[in-house]
Amino acid sequence: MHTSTLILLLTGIIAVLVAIVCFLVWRMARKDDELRLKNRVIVDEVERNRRLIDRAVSLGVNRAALLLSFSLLLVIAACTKEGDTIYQPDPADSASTAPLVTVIYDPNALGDGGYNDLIYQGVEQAAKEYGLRTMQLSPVTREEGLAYLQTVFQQMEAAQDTVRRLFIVAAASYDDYLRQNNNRLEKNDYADLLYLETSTPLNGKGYTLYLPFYGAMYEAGAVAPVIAPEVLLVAANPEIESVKEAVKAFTEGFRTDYVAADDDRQFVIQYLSDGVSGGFAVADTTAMRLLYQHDWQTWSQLMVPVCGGAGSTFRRLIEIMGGYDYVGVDATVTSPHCPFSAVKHIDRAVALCIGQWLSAEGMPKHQVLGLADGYTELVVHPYTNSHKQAFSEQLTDALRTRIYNDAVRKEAEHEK
Amino acid sequence: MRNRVLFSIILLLPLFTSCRQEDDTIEIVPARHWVEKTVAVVAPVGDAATKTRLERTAEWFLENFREAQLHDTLAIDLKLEWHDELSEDLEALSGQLAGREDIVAVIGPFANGSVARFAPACSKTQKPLITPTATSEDIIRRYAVTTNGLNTNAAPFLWSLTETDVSLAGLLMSSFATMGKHYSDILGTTKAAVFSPDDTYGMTFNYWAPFYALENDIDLQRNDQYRSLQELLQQIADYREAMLGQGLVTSAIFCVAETAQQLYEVARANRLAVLGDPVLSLAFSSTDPDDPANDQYWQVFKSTYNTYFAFSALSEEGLAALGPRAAAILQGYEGFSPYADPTTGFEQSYKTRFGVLPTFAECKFYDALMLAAFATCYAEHQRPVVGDNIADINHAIRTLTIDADGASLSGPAWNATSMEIYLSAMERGHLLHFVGASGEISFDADTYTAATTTTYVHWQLMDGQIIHRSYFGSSGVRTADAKAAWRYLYDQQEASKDFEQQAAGGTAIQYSALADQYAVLVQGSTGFINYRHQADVLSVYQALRRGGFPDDHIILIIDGSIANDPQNPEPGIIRSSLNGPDLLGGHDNLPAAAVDYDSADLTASDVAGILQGVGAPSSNVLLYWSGHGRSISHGGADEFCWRDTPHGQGFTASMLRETARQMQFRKLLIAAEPCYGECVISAVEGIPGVLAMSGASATEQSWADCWSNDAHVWLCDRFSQNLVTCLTDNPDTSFRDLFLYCATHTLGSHAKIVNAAHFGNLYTTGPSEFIRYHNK
Repeated sequence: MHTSTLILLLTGIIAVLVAIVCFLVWRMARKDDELRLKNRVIVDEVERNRRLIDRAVSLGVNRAALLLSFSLLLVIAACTKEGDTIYQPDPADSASTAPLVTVIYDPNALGDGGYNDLIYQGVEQAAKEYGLRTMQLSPVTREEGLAYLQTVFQQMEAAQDTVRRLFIVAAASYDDYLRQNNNRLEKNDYADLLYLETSTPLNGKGYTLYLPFYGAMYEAGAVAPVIAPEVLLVAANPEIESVKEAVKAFTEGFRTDYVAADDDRQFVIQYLSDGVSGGFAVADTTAMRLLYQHDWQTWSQLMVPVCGGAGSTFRRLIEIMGGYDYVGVDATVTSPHCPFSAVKHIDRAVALCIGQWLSAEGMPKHQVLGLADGYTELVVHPYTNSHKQAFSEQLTDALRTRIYNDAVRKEAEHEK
Repeated sequence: MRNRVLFSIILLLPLFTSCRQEDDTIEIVPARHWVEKTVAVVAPVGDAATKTRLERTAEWFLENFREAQLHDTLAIDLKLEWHDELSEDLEALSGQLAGREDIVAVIGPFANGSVARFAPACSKTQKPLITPTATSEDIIRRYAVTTNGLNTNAAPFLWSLTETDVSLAGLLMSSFATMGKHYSDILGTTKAAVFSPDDTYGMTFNYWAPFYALENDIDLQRNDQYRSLQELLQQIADYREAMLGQGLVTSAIFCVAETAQQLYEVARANRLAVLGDPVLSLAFSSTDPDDPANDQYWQVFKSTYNTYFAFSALSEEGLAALGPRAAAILQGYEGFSPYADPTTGFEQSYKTRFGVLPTFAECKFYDALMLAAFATCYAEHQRPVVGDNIADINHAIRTLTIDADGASLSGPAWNATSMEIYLSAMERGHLLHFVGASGEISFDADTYTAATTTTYVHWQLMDGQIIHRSYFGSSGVRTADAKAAWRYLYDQQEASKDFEQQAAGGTAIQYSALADQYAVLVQGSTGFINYRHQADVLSVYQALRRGGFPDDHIILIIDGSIANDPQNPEPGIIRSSLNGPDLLGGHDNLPAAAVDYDSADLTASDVAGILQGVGAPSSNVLLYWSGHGRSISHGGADEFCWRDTPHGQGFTASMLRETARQMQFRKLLIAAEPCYGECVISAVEGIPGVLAMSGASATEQSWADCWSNDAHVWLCDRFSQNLVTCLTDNPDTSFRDLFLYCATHTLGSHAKIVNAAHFGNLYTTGPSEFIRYHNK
């Protein structure tokens, strides 16, 4: 066939098609609700198929093969005719497109009955309020955590859909990886990162949150002598900034004589580890030795656990063995042995961040929420009569206010 | 190329456009193929509070499971068929459900006693039975596929999601032992009492308490079973009274409770006891336990009686139902229960969703649903690939749990998002670690059906609220134990230490040359229910025959009525394992056993006479005894029971000592299976040339092994099986190694060895001169 003949034939076909299109445009102008529904269903189906492809691709399936399969399915779904019936997939039977919040914790951190569990609760509460999907990852080892981290980054980087995703890294263990890889998410407008807690904002993509604890721990140190003149502070290690800050603040508060000075006052600090990642778990035998090796001079001792998950071991032993009262750190503890707590409302802070992320205004690049903002505080919750009496006699409202104001000021100075 | 694409588009365009007609009708078709599968749930839904909880848990799971499958074109539409465990006839129901092909699995029942009634029918049809909360060691061991490695041909069907109470009994003791050990210098050995219900549930605690007391250096003063609340309160009162007479000691009450009411009544009785004390009561404003004025002082006095509960059915509404005084009366009381691993987040998500803590039953129920659903999903996806054989739920469960044991880790797969990841990987043939709502779901690779990891929560009641103080894993955070808990093996090092303590002083003793060997094998019990004792004796008999012993050198005393008892499904045949040989009638290279005496014709004194007539100064004599035992504190006398005779008429410790003194032998080896065996064999202490071993200490029961669903009896005992296995596999072993083997493999009791100092060097001499015939 001559080229000219082919061109003519094609031109003819195109002309016919143009005519058909014109006819359809004319019809479209008059299309009724039913047709609009049809089109919406088709568009939804295309979108759904694209999401399915993305998910399958992220799981290692060949994109081209899937694209072809879904295109054919689409054609069949949209156009298969049995008389005048068009078969279309049930739109109610499609995967959720609700925003997804993924959280990763430090190894074995979840279930600590404190800080990490509060984050979990904050995320779940936000999910309930805003109708989000969640996935919270609690690795057993740092290696497993890094594997999770890599997988989530890959998926968020590769995602082609418009599902909003927020990845919350609630762990200090992966700081290096995070700061080296956060910019990979810039390829996806729908993917965001929230790193907590850090006082150093991320360069490039990603939000950060920091709850300074200086003020609340200062307050805890200040009221500690009300309960006991002798204090044992057990800290995870002397390398981590947040631990150092808590120890310093408590010490400063304790040594500022807000309540009557006592000759028997004694303050012992012990570290569980020298290493930067050590001291967040402790064996029963070690904890027993640390608790009961001291030659205390009085009958009242207070233990302050600044050691994350290891704190639960000390609390458990004290509940069984007695001999100490203890300070709740990060979260309150309902116990006759726990008269007051330095609390971080990280649950509320995380829920706030998620709300900001979903809002039109968005989340601030870096947020600091401390004692003055109400996101950390000293909660006095005496349980026994003796504790209640001690607080009522020694911790007047005026003194409490003075300690609070000092703590706010100290925190502000420290944060400078 | 571009033209070709253009051409294709042009050709396809009419296809698209041609179907867009105004008069078209749109018919919505499913986006995927939903396969309907039904799981029966047998649960105590007759109780309104439980019904509410289990139904909302199921609804939550089904919602998550549905959403998690929306990535796939083949999905399972799981339907639940609910049955009330409390009101329905469980035997009839089990038969009906076990036979229905449309039921892929049964979840439940939840109570131990119900599972015991339900399991036999499912065993017959191999219907998958997923039990969320059954913790009785007796039940699980009966229906585990193999208890001692002997029944490996059977197929698993019962999948128990919680470790047996063997673990919980250990946890109760060990947590308190920490305190006892700390104060032992001042207060001496910690004393304790265990009170457990006299039923299938309480049995495990009662059996294992002595074992763990020994392990934890606790002086177990009482180990009582109660049949009513009144009896429980009386037993505790008696113990309190006894402790008061002992001055200042560290003591604990371990109370295994089945209802919240029992917690309340025990706490109230403790309070009454303090208020009734003339000195302690001075601190209170009145002697009325319900006087609110006393409540504020109570925190101080609670610890007067360290009371710890094992109670698994704790719930907020259960406590509220106890009335307005419950919060005050139960203030500060604490206990332990199986629960969910806090690292899965299930507990917190549940609380966020429903406002209260999940119960133990709900955590495990959620996992049971996951297991049934995932296994069904796996089987359905594998069906086109490998046919119907693999589309078996039991096989799928095994594949997802046991076979995937070495799989790469994944997080918990209980919520929709993580479940989707798990299922996506599973559909592609990549099995991930199975972590459910309550933690890792794994089963013993040898016994198949016993859970190997369970998290326990230490709870305390404060102001009517349930406070979770701490969590304990049976083997650490998300690390699986290699064995089911009831296969507890005590450490080789511990066993060696134990051996050194018991066998110290054994030195080489000069014996005359060995001239001849004899054995006296005795079954002390009677009746078909004691089938296992006869199997034990016959196992030893066949071991001796394999060692070349002529029959006339073995005196065999057994109950002649057992083999042909009408209840024996194989008349005339006695086996020690399901697929084992006939130990009585012979066959398969085994000689028929020649019975010398029917025990019905003898008394215990006759047995002593027979022993005295056996042997010579230059011959070795083996005395093996299987049957029941008593001790002075458990039954009234230190003795091996003789048939049905009352206490004092058995083969007593003094009778053994007298007999051993009068016997003629070069060496005498005694091996005893009965409960409390140590208290009898200890009688030979100091008699030269005698070595005695028992399967249980003076305070412990010995244990049966290998349940037969056909005969409805246990087929053997643990210590005896280990003894025979060790002697068969390694007849030249030393006495020390024989002891270590038995000690580390005899589960639930401590093997004992007596009189080593008067026998010889146990490292250099062994049992071969008792089981291998030298003159053959």
